[in-house]
Amino acid sequence: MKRKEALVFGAVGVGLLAYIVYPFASFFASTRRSGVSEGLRSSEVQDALGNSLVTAPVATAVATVFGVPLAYFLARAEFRGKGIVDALVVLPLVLPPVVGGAMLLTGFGRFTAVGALAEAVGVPLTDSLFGVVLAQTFVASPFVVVTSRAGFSSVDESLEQASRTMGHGPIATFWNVSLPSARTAVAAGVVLTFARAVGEFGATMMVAYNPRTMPTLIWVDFIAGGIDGVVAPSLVLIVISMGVITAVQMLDRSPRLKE
Amino acid sequence: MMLEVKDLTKSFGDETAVESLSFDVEKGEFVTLLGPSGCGKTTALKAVAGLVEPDEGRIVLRGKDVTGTKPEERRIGMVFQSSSLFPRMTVRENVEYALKPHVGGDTERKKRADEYLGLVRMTDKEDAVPETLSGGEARRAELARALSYEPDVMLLDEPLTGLDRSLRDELKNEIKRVHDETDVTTVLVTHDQEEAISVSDRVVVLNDGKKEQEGTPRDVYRHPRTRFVAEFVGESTRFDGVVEEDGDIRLGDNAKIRVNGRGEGRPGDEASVYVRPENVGITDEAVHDNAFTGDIVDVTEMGSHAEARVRTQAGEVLTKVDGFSEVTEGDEVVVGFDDSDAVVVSEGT
Repeated sequence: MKRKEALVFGAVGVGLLAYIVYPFASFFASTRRSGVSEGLRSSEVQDALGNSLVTAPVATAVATVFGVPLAYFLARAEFRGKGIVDALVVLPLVLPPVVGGAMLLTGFGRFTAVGALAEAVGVPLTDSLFGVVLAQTFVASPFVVVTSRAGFSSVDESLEQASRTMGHGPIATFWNVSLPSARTAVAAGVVLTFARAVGEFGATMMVAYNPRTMPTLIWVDFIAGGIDGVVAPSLVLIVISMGVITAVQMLDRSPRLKE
Repeated sequence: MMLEVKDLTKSFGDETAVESLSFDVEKGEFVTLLGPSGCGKTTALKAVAGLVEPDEGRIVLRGKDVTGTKPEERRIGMVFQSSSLFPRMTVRENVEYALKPHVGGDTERKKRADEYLGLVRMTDKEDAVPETLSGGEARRAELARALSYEPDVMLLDEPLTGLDRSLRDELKNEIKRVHDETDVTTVLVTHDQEEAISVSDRVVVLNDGKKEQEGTPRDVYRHPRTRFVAEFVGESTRFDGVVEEDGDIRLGDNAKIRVNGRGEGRPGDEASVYVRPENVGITDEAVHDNAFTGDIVDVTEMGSHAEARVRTQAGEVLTKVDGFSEVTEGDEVVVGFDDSDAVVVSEGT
């Protein structure tokens, strides 16, 4: 694209860019008057951060362990009703998270058969870290499935067929050929799933209002003390999000991970 | 018999890719499935490898029916149409990965990889990753990988497609040399009749999923039994006519082709006569069984030879002459061929 043409598109796009940058600027300006360091040292913030940093990796791991094989299956298998399965996989992505939370409560709530049984064996599925993981997994798992699926679809099937003719079974072929070939996409999916899980609020609030994670703490503090009360925990989430973006960009540029 | 394909049929939806295809391959033999794009040859090859499940028919390897078995249980080596080297492994790692299910111990695998990388002259590239290899090197590495575990049958799916002419010739010779040295039973799939004729012990010509003819390259080239084979395998001039009482072919009121009475069917039945350009000579006088006077309408130089089109009363005749020879457009010449060089294909074949 020539410089002049690029400027036309850039000039139009700069409006949106400004709209994104402005709240960041105003937010960081407000950190000077909000006692951020004090806020970060509070036990509430530290507990919530601990909860988020425990539950989000677990939810990401669960989504990855089950989601990557599902992504591979959807990339390779042809069957009747595949469109319905595709839609189901993406549904949590487009569904309002609070609706997802409500649905989870009807399936795993304290007064349901599954919820009561889990509670009886000491694994409460609501108002617990398990509940947080349930909510985060439901909302965030489509990221790893959709991204990994795109990665597997771009792997030439003849690589897998070659591996099979050499005497390697389907699992060895998946592990040694398909997964390494699609690992940039899979890794990006895992990182995005983590980002979505750590920032999950709507479904988590419905399923596990307590113990607090960072997003629920921000909401509670906002209701109690207005915007000044949420600057410190928000700052933590912004740092985590920026870390995620950096990770995705590094994955994209890493020659070892590139095809 | 190393490989027997019996009545193989495979459809994809409403499209029949292969229909009742049967052929055998002896141990150490080099057989080529030759046909145009979409004739079902790759489907047949993949069915042998276990990558496509046949609707009907059987695949028998070393006397054992393997039709329902998985690809990893067949001991097949395969080189695919597009490069299938694993991009995250070096050339050596590719070969050693192939050896893993077959050869125990790192030392033994290393030794075997050395042997086969040496066979295809890729030792100096063993640490290269696939993206840095040229097309020919990638093909040779794939050949080493597929041969390294000494498969019962080696399948080559259009391995020369996408390579330039000189590389194609070089690799074709390499494949032939490797086959001769290893004596591995080989099935090649190609649409290139020159390739099929130059490397194969036997050729199976396919069209629309069905076998048209099977035989040695010489048989298939010299004695095509169907119109399709006559027109697909090699260049020729085609004369359409009808069978006469004496078995020769009448082209019209003024022309007749003597075929020594080989025109099959009843008098009046339609038949075609095919003559290879190298069997048509340009002479000053009629010394052949069949001779026609005409004018040269076109000369195409190929370097080693030239092809001349001569317009005669029997139609346009293609002939091969020496490269950069004296014949030019507009020359009046006599073209002729012997009756033994004429191939007669009767109606309905």
